[in-house]
Amino acid sequence: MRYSCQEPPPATLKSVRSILCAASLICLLSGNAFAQNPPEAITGLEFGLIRDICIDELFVSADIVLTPPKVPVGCTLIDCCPGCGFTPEINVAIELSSDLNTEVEVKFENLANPGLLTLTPPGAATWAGTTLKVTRDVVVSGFQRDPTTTAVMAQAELKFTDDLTAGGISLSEVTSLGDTIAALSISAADYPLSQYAFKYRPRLCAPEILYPPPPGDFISLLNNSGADQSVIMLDAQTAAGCVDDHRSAATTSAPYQNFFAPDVACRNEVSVYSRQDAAVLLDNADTGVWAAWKDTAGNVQQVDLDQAPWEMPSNVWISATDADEDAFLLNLALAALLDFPLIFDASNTPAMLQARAKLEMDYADMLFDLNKTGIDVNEQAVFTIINQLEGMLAIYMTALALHASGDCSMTQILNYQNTIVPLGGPSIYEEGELNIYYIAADWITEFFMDPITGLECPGVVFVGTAGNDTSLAHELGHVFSLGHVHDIGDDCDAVVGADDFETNNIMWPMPAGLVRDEFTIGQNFRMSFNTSSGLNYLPKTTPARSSGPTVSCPDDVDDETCLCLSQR
Amino acid sequence: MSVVRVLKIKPIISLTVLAVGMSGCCTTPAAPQEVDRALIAWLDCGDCLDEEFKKLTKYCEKEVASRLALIVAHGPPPEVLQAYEIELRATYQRRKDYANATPGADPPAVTENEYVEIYTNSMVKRHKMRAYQALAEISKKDLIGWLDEIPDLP
Repeated sequence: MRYSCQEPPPATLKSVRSILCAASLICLLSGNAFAQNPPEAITGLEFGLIRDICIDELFVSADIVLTPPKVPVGCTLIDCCPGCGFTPEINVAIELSSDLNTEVEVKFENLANPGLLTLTPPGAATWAGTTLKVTRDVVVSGFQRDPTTTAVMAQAELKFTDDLTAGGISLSEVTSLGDTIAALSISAADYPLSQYAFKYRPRLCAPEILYPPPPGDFISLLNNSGADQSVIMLDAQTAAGCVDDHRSAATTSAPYQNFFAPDVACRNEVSVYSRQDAAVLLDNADTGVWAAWKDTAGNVQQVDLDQAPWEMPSNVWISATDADEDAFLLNLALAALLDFPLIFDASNTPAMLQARAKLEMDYADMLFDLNKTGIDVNEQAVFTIINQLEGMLAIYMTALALHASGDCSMTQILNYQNTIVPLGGPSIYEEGELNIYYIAADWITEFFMDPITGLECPGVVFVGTAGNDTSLAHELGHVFSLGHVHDIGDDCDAVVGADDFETNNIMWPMPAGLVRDEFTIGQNFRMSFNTSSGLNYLPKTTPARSSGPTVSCPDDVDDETCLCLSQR
Repeated sequence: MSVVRVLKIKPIISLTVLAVGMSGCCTTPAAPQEVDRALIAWLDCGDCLDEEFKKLTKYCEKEVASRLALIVAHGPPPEVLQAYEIELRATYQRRKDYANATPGADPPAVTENEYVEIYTNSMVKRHKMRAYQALAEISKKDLIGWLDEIPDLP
């Protein structure tokens, strides 16, 4: 970094600079002179996805297919295009580096005619429709940049083809394997636009002592309502030592090596995560459960998934009005009461806002189900429109206090509940339940606009209209004790940093890719069992959460009690 | 959230305040990608912290102001919106498929085009407002001056 201290330019210089700046902008966008003198560096995004390959899976299946996010062939960031506005052709360089046998197939969407593209060197790849099968490094050139048509999207699917089911590679060889890297570099003539590097680290996801798995003990899953591949996390003791956080997946039964009868040497614990079933934790303290494990092989530990997902009673308050007069009065009242006004956006009618709230609640419910969280956020949701002035005022002032200073006291809403509701005003808050407020105010002052996406306090969520379709799911993750994944030092694999998480994790504070649709098993564990999760501190969760084990696992703790947050 | 707090301490009188602008230290990025990352982090953050705002507004005016003004004037470039639209349509389809396969799940109650419109409008609004916020913090000339310099896109 270089730092400089600048004084405001004198007025004359400022004027000259304005003219120069305008001229340079025009040059930039019109082209030719700029094209002859390209800048040394053009903006672009270095996009890195680092993911572990569980090499263990090659012992039981002949291949692993990994599908990274789609990337646009063109500009990917705001204003990355000063270099490509006048250069219609875009090139994509595909590079692959791996110690394993791999195949890359790059699938292009919205590509009309692949025959018009040029491959360099010829023969380094072959087309099958709009899919390019890459055998060695290749440059594909001739993509046309046309902002008026739908952008071409590329997705580099990577397939690992080493068949290790017959033991074709030793464990020591596995541990010495280097990273596999598939990179897409997108450029327009001499101008690099963006680069995507998908790096995969081969690693043993389960302890070596479990491979190959000989006949031994079993975990049997009962009442698996979703009939899905439930995820089983297990601590136990084998002849070789303690097993910590071993992951497996099964619909009805999972085979293991022989486990010993419990003793103090090793922890015995199992947790199961399944669609359409509540998560189950049989922890170390539940000693009766572990009587199933004998020193001999052939024991079966049953885990009953008979509990339906935990239901969180939710009240979705739609705070909007389609009466211009009310909107005007609301703005007037807010302007009078606050240092700076929160401007109400009357273009969001109650019906529109309710439709949006329903869309996002349904989507959150789908994401919580597909990710096997064992939490149902939608089953008991009640939607209520609040278009009465006093109620709206209380909601917006509370939102503003939270937005501006992190104030979670809910003062205005609680004052309203205590003073107006007894006089016959409609309720805007339900004690002991989840309260979700959809608000139609997007900015704070007439000069410094601040669009509201989502805000969260314990048991309370505010959602604005500047967010995306996962804003509510993200805020609910906070309600269930999760923090953001960008600011923690996760250490599942001793590599600290945000690289431990896929770009699509729901708890990224912003879309690292364009889609957020994943919770990890480590996050599921915390959402269901953390004492700081809304499931456990809101008293109206059904069925009541008065019994069963709970944990206190901050995001950045990974020990014998707490699953690593990024554990998948 | 506390971004607002930061902004609040500034006297808000009129747009002419922006013309006066701020003087003081600023940072020149070591690589253009730094600005990109800071820009996208600020424009798309969900639970914004001071951190995202400060990471962008620490840069010198010349590094970011013209780009922010472009976004204020035109919103995200077409490629960004197109890529987002593709993902929204894919999400919509996934949601329909999920509803068909899952008892009790409701399909989206809006059409695919309405779904795309709702969230692309949100993105445009978010980007424009956030760009305006950052521009107001960074720029040494008024917004109208910047907008006058932005030509129409092809």
